[in-house]
Amino acid sequence: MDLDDLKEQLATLGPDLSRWPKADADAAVELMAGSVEAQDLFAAATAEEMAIFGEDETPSESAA
Amino acid sequence: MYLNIEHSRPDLDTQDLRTASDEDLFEASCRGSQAALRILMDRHNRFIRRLAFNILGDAQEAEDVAQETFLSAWRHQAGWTRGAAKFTTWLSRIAINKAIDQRRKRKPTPERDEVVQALADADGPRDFAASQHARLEEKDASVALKAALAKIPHAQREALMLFYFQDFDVARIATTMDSTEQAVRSLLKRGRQALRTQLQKQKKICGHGPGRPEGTAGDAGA
Repeated sequence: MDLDDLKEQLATLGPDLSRWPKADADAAVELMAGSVEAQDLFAAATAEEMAIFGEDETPSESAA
Repeated sequence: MYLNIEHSRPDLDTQDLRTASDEDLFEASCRGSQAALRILMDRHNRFIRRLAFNILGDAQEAEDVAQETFLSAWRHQAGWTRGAAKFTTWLSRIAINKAIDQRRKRKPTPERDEVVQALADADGPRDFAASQHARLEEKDASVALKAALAKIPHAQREALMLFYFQDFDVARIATTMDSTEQAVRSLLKRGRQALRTQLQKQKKICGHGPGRPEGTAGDAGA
């Protein structure tokens, strides 16, 4: 996975990696482990997701 | 793990702290201001937890990572230089690295995953989806979200609803919508873009509405 792939996946599936195919999620984690650009993309996608869907507690907390 | 700073030598009074920038707060906290650190954590804890949760998928682990992130930032204050990166960008990178470390520590548990999947398949949408939907119903922000959803094309709306509120994966959405996975991916991507555009329009019309969380890393890399 490269930065463009990460950007595409974030735009399609959002930043919750538990919703991604496992292989893609693992690849994204590996990319972020070595790239601050990837980390910044991921952080920006998380901020955007919170702006769209609200800033509530993590989903599993609300399900508890 | 909880932060516990023994000494406090705030240079700014409480009113100043509330309106201070992240950078000023962090510098004050590094000089020993407990109040500055508390305000900084109040501002960003929710975002940092969500960031960690998105990598870990576990609320307790995300909470632990958030605590460790603030502690690490405070301990390694020399790692941030004013002007080199925004404080929130630096904080987000710490959180992501810690979440990645935590994720790597885990042992693979395919058996558990299979059980969870089997339960999900047997029982239909998980409690999480129902709960999230109910929560959205209750929130003021959900009014804006629903209004925005109503204005995007039907197919995009259907794909987004199945993904977010029914917790379907792409393959299952494709089956449900009698479509292909490629088409569903396109619908989700365009749907998210359309949703964002609609929410921005609402914000302009109303003068308020869902916006980027203050002080988050939405402008990461700037």
